[in-house]
Order: sequence, then structure tokens, then C-alpha cells
Amino acid sequence: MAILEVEDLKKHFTQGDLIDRLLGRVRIVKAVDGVSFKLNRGETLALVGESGSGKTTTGKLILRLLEPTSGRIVFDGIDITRMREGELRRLRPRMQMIYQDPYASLNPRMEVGKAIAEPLVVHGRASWSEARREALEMLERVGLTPARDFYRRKPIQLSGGQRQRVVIARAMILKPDLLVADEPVSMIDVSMRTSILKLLLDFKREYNMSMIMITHDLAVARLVADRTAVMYLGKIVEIGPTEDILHNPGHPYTEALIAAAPTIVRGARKPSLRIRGEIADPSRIPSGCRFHPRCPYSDGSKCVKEEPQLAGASRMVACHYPLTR
Amino acid sequence: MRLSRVLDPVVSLFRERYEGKWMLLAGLAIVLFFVAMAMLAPYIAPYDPTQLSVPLEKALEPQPPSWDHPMGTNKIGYDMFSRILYGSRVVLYVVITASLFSLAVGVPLGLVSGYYSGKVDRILSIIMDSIYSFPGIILAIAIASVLGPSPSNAAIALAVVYVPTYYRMVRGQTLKLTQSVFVEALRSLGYPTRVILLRHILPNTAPVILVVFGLGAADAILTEAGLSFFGLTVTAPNPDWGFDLYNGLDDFRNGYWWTIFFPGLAIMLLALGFALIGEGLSERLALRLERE
Amino acid sequence: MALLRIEDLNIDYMTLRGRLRAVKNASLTLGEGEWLSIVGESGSGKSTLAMAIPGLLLPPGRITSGRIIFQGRDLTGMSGDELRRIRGSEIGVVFQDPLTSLDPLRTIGDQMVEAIMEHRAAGSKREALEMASAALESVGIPGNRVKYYPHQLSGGQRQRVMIAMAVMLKPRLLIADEPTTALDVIVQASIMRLLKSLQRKMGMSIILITHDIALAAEVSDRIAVMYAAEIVEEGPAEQVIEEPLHPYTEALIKSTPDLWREKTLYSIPGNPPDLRNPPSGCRFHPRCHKAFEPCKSREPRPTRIRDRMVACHLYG
Repeated sequence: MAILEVEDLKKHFTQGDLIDRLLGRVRIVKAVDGVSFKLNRGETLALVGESGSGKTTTGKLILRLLEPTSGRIVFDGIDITRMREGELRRLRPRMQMIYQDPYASLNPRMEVGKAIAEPLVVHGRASWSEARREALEMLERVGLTPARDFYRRKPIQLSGGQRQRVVIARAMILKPDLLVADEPVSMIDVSMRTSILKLLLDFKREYNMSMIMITHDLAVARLVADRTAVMYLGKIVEIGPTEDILHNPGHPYTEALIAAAPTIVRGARKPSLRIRGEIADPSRIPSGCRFHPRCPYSDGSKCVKEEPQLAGASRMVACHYPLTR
Repeated sequence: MRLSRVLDPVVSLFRERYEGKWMLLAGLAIVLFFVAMAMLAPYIAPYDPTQLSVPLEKALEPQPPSWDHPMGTNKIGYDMFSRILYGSRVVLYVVITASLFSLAVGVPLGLVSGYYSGKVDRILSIIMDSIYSFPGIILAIAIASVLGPSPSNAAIALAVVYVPTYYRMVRGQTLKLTQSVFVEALRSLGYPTRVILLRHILPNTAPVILVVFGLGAADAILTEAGLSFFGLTVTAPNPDWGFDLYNGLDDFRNGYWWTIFFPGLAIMLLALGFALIGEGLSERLALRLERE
Repeated sequence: MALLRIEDLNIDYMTLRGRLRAVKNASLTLGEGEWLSIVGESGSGKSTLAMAIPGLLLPPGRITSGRIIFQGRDLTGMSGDELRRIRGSEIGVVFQDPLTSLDPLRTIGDQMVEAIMEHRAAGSKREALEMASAALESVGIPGNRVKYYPHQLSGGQRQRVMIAMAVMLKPRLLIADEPTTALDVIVQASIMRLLKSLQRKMGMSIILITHDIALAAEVSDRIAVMYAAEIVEEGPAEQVIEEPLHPYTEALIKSTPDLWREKTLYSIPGNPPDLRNPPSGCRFHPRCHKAFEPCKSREPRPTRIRDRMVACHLYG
């Protein structure tokens, strides 16, 4: 059964201050522009794309940390699209988020052990002394030993990787059903990334948790995700089983992402596709296929005029001329 | 364990090396000196501050500083040294009560305003800005003259004047913290607003509140002196630095410098003490932010 | 002859909590037109080493011993003024975050002209502006963008501008410190291609600082691997990647997620050491699966094996 269903989700921001409004320069930024997908229990979906693709906004919308402009979010059969914050608070322990910058997501003045224990107390699941014991176990579990020593440290006294372990421990102590991980390893040294990902996978297995992994790095998606959705300018342009997409990309943008991933394998058979320019400003989304100005395969007519829709069954591609057939 | 929690920050204050350390220590020394003076006034004051301290024939004219009267006497024969000692009680009472009151009102309003933004914020900001835009001394005089001269009324007048200072600082900090990732993370953990505000945002604004307390108190001392100058804090013959300053103005013109010099010096020193504490703390805060 | 020779360089940071050796006995040689990548985790000293070359060490960092010979001259003995003349004209530098190195209130052309005039590389402002717009063209940005302000450019374009500024006076050496860490993968790939083509076209040498060994593998002629302030291995890129000698290099390669290799969740056990209190003997031994007796007590000495260098007890 699906733990999460997202239907035609949109988030449009109006951008501009008073001066812009007076001068009629207000712009609509379509950060998320019609995203739909289903996530099954125990499944991991990667949202992959460059900055400006709307993947982080999508993650925050799912958890209702941002108000959606339109669309529907159904969490475990409950429609939470317009749920009030008070009610939502009771659901929040079941859906957790991990941020890119672990230092920014911790209270700089609070001992990290306390930060891990506190959610249990706040949600009335344990007294402080019980929560403390559980937090110590959790520190042990995420590899921050001796736990008693780490419990009393401040975030500033930890390395980047250790901080991210604290953030993971804090989210996992509530045993959530859904985890949204927003670039959890992009600020961590390459050599430490896999250990953090492994930790997430272990928790996922143990709690039968579902996970949304937001990343710009296909190699990360490959290590953790059952399915991958590639986003471009607020839309999913391709979605399907991860290995399948990597071996056989359907959308030219996916192919470009694969081609750009660095490798140590000499003579790796990378696609030779190179695309032009950079992602457009989400307040000025190109007509037709939003990827067409950068696409080497654009036909100059249909691609410019008509927006392609996601089509297919387990593997869906939004392209007039998909590479797979 | 509990004790060490209280003592550690104090000990680390002396261990840490940073630019403003001497300022903070000097400020603390000055303020503690005056606090001790206020507490010990009954034991060390050689005379009653509101009684003749010299034979009647010498009371017609201010007596210069001497061994018996280290700060001289004023034109009605009261001992200036005793008046300075007792006057510190009035000043400290008014200024500290007023600062605590401004803090107690300004901080919660600032927290709420910064966290919710929107309409609440706009209304509160307009009220606070309109208070803030008055010159402090004029507003204080207006309120105090309506309420009548007494130390408590002077404290209320000052409190109103300094509420916006606390409000603005705390609101700014709260606004910044509310938009920070760590507060969003707490929301995603399902924390109620009360917990987020009191357990997480408030402690992060505490250092700034301390800085404002130091600088605000320094400013309040000068404003208090202004109120006293116009006779709005105490009534004659009670001792008060600002009031004595006013009473000494004529003497100065007649060549008697001591009845105005010592109250003025006391006001300046105490204000300097609080200002040094504020500046020292803000340097320390800047250093900590840099480290983080 | 080598363009750059670093000999036994030691760099210390004086901190409140004591002295910290950020670079220890580093020796490197860089030939004309060669691309050397220095790879390591954060805190390994790779940036410190690279920034010391053009005299950009920030206090409290200080070179305590060793020499940096660039085109026959020792840079460590030079005054601030002499180094400033060399920076920009003979050694170009590109940093991680282009936004912090550009003045937001002035056009990029203005800033480029200033740099050109500073080095007296043009006779007049007009000539300097022409040079600036030609430099922009050379990095793939239309020359008329000299009139733009930094915020009118995207992150990738800003990094291109930084590269243009670094190479416009035709330096012999370009030092790039994590130039693509703040950028997206597709932009990263295009910036790396740009650097590669500039290297070929101008015959310039490049030192790239990166934590991503895969990125280094694709572009470098030589790779140096740093761990805990020491260079533990150095050699031709192909050999270092395909048959790493040092167990750390091997682990680093194995732990890097890569689309074109077998999927593995390998990670190096443990954490990088605290440089204030480094482990005895070989600094990598607590995390090394090949560690044996001498590793704990004796520091390994750099060993030359043909064209390569490795500091590990496994090799003599």
C-alpha cells in the first residue's frame, strides 16, 4: 500500500518587494509545477535534479513545511493538503526530515544528546530520564561513541559527518514511517558519504520506513533508491526503477546528468551528450517542453510549442522523442 | 554538577581571551562597586543625608571637602558624601527596576512578533516604533509628571521608554531564527510553538538581551538623572544624584564646585560601568559568532 | 625544468589551544603544462598547501620551513608586494565561491580592468576593457557581458568570470581550490572541460584542489593524495587510480560512489584524526586494514618507486 500519494502538486511563489509591486515587476516563480507520484511502504524514491529543479521545495511540501498552492498530498490514507497545524503536529513524528546542512539544523546552544532526547519528551512519549537513556542508545547506534561523552557536546565540537549522525539520530528516535532526506551527504566529504547512506539504509530496513532521497548526485541515488524521479524546472521529466534509468535513460536531461557524473573508471562508456547553458529561471519557464532550449534533440517546432506529458507504465518519460523505445 | 553549571560561564569569562574582556571586567567592577556602596550605605555613611551635619553657622554656605566631609557639604549643610552613598540606592533601584520591567514586557512581545510576523507583528511594531521615535527624556518627563514624583513612578516612566529597545532587538533575532533551518527542523519534528519559542529561540537571544541590558541601563541612568534634575524622582530633602546636580547649579556659579562635581562624577561612572558591560558582552558575542 | 618545486614545506597554525601543523614535510614537483590534482578530505591540509604557494595563507597560518621554488625564484622569501605582482600575472587563483570574490556593486568589466591596470598589462583603460572582453570570450561568455553586475550572472557564469580574471594575464600556473563544489553536476562538467581546454591552449600548469578523486581522475596528469597534513602518495594519475600504492588512496577510491562501477557501500572506518594530537607512527594506521607492527611506532618515510612517491611501510 502507498504511504504517500502526491497529485499534481504545485507551489508558486510571488517574488518581489514593494518597489517591484509598484513598478509592476512582480514575478511568479513556479518552483513546483505539477508533480505526481506514489511511494510505497518500505520503498525509497530519489528526487534528482539540479538546483532550481524544485526537488527541495517538493520535499518540504510533502511534509507541509510549505503551503502548497494546489494539488493533493495523501499521507497513509489521510489527506493532509489543507490540514491545520495543530492536527498536523500529531502526524509529524511519523514523517521526518533531514537537511543538507547538519550544523544549521541543530540548535547551536543545545547539547546534542539533549537535542536527540527532546522530541520524545515533547511528544509525551518518555520522561527526561527515559529519553536520555534512549538518546544514549541512539548515539551508540549511529556510531558516536563513547555515547556519554558525545551526549554532552555542542554541535560546534563535532565534525560535519558526526553532526549529520546526530541529526539522523534525532529524526530516527521517533521511529518515523516516512523520511525526507534533503541532500544529506552533499556537504560531507566524498569518502564519508557511503557510511551516512548505509546508516540511513539500516534504519530504513529496521523500521520498514519509506524514504525520499533528494539529491543532485545520481551516484547517491543509485546506492539507496529503488526508484528515481528526475526533476527539471518544477516537473518530473522521467521516473522509473533506478538501475533501469541509469542504464537506459529515456529523457535527454537524464542522459546529460549521467554524462556529467565524474568517474574514476578510465574509458567508461559515458554518453557523449553535452547540453548547453544552465537551468532557466523558474519565473520564466520556456514554452512547450521546458528543456527544449538546452536540448540537442529539440526539433524546433513541436518541442517548442507542445508540452510533453509523462507517459508509460512503470517507466515514464516526458519527452516527444524519448531515447528509449 | 549543578553548581558547576552556574560557575563554568563565570570561570570561562576569565579564561577566555578576547578584545573586550577588560571592558567587561572593568564594567563589572564599577557596577559592583556602586552596588556595594548602596548596600553598605547605612554602615559607612558618616551622617544622616537629610540632617544638618555641621554647626548651624557653617550651614549657611557650602563647606569644601575636608577630613570630616570628604565631598564637602551643600548649601544647607548636608554632607555630600552621605548623600552620594544614599543616592546610589535610589538610582540603582529606579534603573534596575525599570530595566527588568522593560525586559519583561519587551522580550515576550518581541518573541511573539518575530515568530508570527503578519498582523500581530505589524500592529506591535507600529506601537513600539511610535514610542521609540519620541526622544526618551521627553517621554519619560511627560509620563513621570503625570504620575507624580516618586522613585517607583520614575521607574515606570523609564520602563515605558526602554520597552521598544528590547522589543526591537528580540524581534529581529527571533525573525532571523524563525527563518533558520534549525527552527524549521523543530517544526518538522512536530514541536509546539511554545516549546520552540521558550526552549530554543529564547536561549539563542539571551546573549543579545544581556548586551541590551548593559547598554540600556547605561542610557537609563542618564535619563533617570534627567528626571531627577527636574525633581521627578524624589522630593526635597531626599538624596538623589540628579536632584543634587540641579540643586548645585547655583553653587557652581558662586564658585562652589564640589556640590555639582561629585553627583556628576557618580552618574558618569555608573553609566560608564553599565556601558562597559554592554560593550564587553557584545565583543564576546561577536567573537563567539565568529568561532561558530 | 620544473615550473614549481615545493621542498619540505611545513605550515603551522597558531591557535588558542596550541600549535597545529596543517602541512607536514610536503614536497611536490610540477612540470610546465602539467595538471596536478591534490586530493584529500576536509582538514587534510590540501587547501592550506595550495594557498601557501601564491602567498595567500591567512593568519594564523605561517610557513615555518621549506621552500617554494617557482620559475627558479623562492616565493617563501618574497615580500607581500612582490607576491602581489606575481599573483594574477604569473599565478592565477580561482576559489570555491565566486560570489564572495566579486564586488557586488561594480560591473565585472570594471573589476577586470582594475586588475589589468594594477599589473600595468594595458596602456589605457580602453585597451584594458578590450582585453577583459576578450578574456570573457575565451571562457565562453559573450564579451559584451563586461557591463553586467555579478548578480546578473548565474553561478556557473560567475565561476567562468573568475576563471577569466585568473587567466587573462596569461599566467604560467593556475590554482583552483574546489572550483566546482558549489555548482551543479552539469555545470561542474562544463567548467572542468573549460579548464582542460585552457590548459591545452595556453600551455598552462594547473593545480586543482578537490575532495572528489573521481573528478581528479578525469582531468589530471598527476595526482597527490593528502591525509592528515601529509602527502601520502603522488604519481601519474592513471597509475595512482588504477594501482594505488597507499592503503588510504585505495580506500578513498573504493569509498567513492561511482556510476560506472560495481555498487558498493564501502566506507573508510573511523574518522580523520585531530591534527593537534595526531596518531603515532603512520597517521593512517588506526584506520588501515593493512597496518602491521612498525606502522604504530615509526613514521613511514617517502619512498620513490620509478615516477611515483608513496609514504607507507609496505614499501620499504
